[in-house]
Amino acid sequence: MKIGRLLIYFFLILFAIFYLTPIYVLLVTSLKSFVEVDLKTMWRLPKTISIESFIQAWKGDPKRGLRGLSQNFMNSVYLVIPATILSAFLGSMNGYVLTKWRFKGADIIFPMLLFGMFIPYQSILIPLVQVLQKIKLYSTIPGLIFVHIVYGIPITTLIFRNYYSTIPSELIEAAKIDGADFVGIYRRIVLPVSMPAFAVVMIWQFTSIWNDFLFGLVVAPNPSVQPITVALNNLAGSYFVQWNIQMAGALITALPPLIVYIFLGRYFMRGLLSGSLSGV
Amino acid sequence: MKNTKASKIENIVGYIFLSPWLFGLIFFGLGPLLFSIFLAFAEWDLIVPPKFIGLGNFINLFQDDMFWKSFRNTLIFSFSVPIGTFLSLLLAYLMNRPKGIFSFLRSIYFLPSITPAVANTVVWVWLLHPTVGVVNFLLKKLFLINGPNWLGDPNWIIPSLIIISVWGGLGYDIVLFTAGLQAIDPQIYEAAEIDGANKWDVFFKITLPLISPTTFFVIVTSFIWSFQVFDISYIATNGRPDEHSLTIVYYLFQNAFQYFKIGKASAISWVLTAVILLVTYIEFKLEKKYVFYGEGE
Repeated sequence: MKIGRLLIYFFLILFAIFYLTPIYVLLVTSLKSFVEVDLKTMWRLPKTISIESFIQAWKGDPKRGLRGLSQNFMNSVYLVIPATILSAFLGSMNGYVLTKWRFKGADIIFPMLLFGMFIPYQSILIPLVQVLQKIKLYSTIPGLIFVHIVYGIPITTLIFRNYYSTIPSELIEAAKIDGADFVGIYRRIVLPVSMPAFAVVMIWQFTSIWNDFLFGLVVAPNPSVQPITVALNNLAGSYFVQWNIQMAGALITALPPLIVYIFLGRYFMRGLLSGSLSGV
Repeated sequence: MKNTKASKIENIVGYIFLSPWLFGLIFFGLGPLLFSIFLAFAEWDLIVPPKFIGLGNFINLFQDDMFWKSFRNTLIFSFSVPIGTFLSLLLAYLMNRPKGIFSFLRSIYFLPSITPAVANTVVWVWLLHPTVGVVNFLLKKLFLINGPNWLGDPNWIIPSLIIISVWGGLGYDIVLFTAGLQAIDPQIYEAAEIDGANKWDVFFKITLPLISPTTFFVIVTSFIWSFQVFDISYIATNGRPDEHSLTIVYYLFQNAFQYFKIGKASAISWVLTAVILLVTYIEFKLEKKYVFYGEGE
């Protein structure tokens, strides 16, 4: 029995090492200068820590026509912050209306919402571009923000709806009797207890918007408005770009979701483990 | 409602709360959706106005060799679903402790799930490089195997995409499975132990049926994602896929945004939707047979 346990631990550790190898190699390579990048010494930590690769990936190299990621990083920041906050708030408002307020038509709204979640987004990419061109938002950051809000609302609404259904309805009824109105109840009762749901929703939205590639590629063909994921692909696609610069670029692109995860991840995990993203 | 005036106001305020979403749904969801159904039956190059051609796009598509190849590649790619589900369930089961080292390991496994697929793939393109990549270097050093030319070999390109995809999605599924496993009442295990059940019995007769709703959720969502694969194939082929690496959504993207065959692209998107719906429907049929939702009280 003891040996069995030991074998399991051995397997788990081996698998974890295997799984982490890409991350390790990525980290050490991005901190090396180009002369030090060599297959035989791949495992070694850099002799001298060089941030040269990061500077090149960030600023680019105009002499060789290499576009840096700095502008696209900022594009993604300008995109992800409003899109995350707005889609979370709208989801919270919808979730509140759908669980705590009976109004005419509420019964058909929820199925419509689910339907919105299952619309295959590939099939509407082309008309979506047409609509954005008509309203002059095509190939702009506000256009991308718009798209991400619209496609984020169903999932954010669903999470808030699940969360708000745990708030006792008596609380709302009591507030109504005390004369609180619709907006008042939302502001003073519902919103203050919503923080755990906001944490899950905002982390979810932040990472999925930051990580998106297809919408960025399709809605923002102009390099100066592209989000960082699309720019990273362009950077890595150039043949003359050295591996250490590519790795630094990948790390820069992955950094914001990593930071969010490191600082807020446990709220997200708690939400995930309690099933707020897996149950309807 | 006792007070009709108050309830009227409630209705109005309710709709005001919902209006941003309703607006978005109509102009960016339903509207484009209807338009795209129309386009699937039309010919359009974005210059000359769309012309209705009936089933032309679909007939054209089913006779198109490249479409079937992209379909076949996507089907092979979807083997990432059983592989990923099996591995994540295995790991979640072996690491099924709420706290301590295993909780730490779970958060490590989760890392690639939150970093962009684009960044993950850029790293893997390098790892899988035939001459300067770590994977082939290790295969040679540890097992004396000459590794294949992964992304450059017609037979290995899709398996390479499967590796990249499983690596990126494993952590998320592990967390979902862990949630399912932790929800099982420990008393059931104790009762089984008293009855003299061995480890395998416990796993197959208790654990597996009790987490089947989670397994079902993981399989359904993973299949949908795997049929929509695009990012990793785009980056791994550097935007130049061939008949061995083209996927359905990639072919859709090419037709829509590179060849400007809008009608054909819309037809592809609806065939894809139909395939996804069909697979999901079959899964829900199987659910009735294999998924266990408790006895109900």
